[in-house]
Amino acid sequence: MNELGEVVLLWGVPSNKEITMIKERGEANRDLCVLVPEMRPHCLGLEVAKRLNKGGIKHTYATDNMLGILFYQNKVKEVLFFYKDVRDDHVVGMCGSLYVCLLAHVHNVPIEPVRGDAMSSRSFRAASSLDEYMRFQYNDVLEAADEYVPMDIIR
Amino acid sequence: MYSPLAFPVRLQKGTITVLDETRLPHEETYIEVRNLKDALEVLGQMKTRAFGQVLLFFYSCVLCGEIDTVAEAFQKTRPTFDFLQLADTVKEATQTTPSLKEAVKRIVEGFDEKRKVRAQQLAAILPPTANILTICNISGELIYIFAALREIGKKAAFFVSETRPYLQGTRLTLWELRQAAIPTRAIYDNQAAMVMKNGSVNCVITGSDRSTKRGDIINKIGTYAMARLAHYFHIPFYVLTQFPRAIDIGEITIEERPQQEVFIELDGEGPWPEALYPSFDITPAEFISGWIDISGEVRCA
Repeated sequence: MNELGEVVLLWGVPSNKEITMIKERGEANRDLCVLVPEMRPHCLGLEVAKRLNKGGIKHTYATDNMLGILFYQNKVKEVLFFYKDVRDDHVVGMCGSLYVCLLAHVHNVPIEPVRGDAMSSRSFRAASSLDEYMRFQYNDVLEAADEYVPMDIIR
Repeated sequence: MYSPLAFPVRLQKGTITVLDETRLPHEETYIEVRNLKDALEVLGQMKTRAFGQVLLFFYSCVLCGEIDTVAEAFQKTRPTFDFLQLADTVKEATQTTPSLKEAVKRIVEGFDEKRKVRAQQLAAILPPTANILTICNISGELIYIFAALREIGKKAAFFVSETRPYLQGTRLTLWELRQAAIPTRAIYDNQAAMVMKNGSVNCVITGSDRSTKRGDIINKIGTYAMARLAHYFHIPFYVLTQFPRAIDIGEITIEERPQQEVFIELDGEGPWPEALYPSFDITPAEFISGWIDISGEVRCA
């Protein structure tokens, strides 16, 4: 973790066009480290990691609950928030968007909103066998709805 | 109300039996530990943790008839937890009770009683209807807290953060609370802000692997984010501590585990991306509302 350079944290799913933009940033700043959070429940981070690989962009994966320590250690310099929509003075993003944006906000880390890929997370299956177990054992499905992030936090 | 996680490690007839927490909730199996090598293997593979690793340490001392060697080996295997302090506790006990076995027996019995008292102390300061967010697993102590709340006419429900990558929240805490018929819901780790914002929770309770006299803590990865968000939403954040030390929290080694463990609970076989795995994080005192120590001391900010 100590070897991480200046972290740009990706939240949401970037399209191919945005992958090119991330690549250009990386080429302009060799110290830049692209961090891909897991993005539960569907582990969209794995999909983003694949796209980055295809684009030849070096990156590091972390689970969502590991983001706090990276903000705490001042590793994260910017959040690229690939949102889904803008509604009623809010930016709408996938499950966890409020978590990430608030962490950035309280650590004074700038958030750059970028319209993300419109792919539906519903096309992904449960990412862990425990998810299936929970469904079977407890008849319990965790709801993972889109989240509204107030515009003033992003500004 | 009882959780097997409240006493996950036992010493019987010269053998330590350890509840394999990595197999829960699918099956309740026990591993036999006959020597220090076995104990270190169980510890390193996260088969037991939290109160389980405390018990494993005490009983390994009995098994080996030795304290310092065991403490050093444990400390090397899980560098963040303070096994050297546990060693001091055992040494102190042997001054009044020379038999190591007897001394450990007394410490362990005392510990459980203290955990129950601590639960009562915390229950007294929680709201009349406590909707509690928690992370990881506090080895059965949430059940003690629920019982203590009920005893004084308070109500409680739990929201459990799943705690990636090992999912101790879902696999252990959700399981033990549901077994005890306590109202509980699991959330994804990244939903902590949402349940605070929408008013589903009105307090947060976590354990701590290390704590300082100043009030800083080290606990399971994700705790810091939870505390910081609770602070933002003005939600009280309470921590269960054990014997805080007068040390600088920044000097404690944060254990980084092998990156392949990040994907241990996911379906599929990879190839997986390069990953980080810091096991713990630091939460500074300013984001904590109250500390309830095993010694009986309660401090509120």
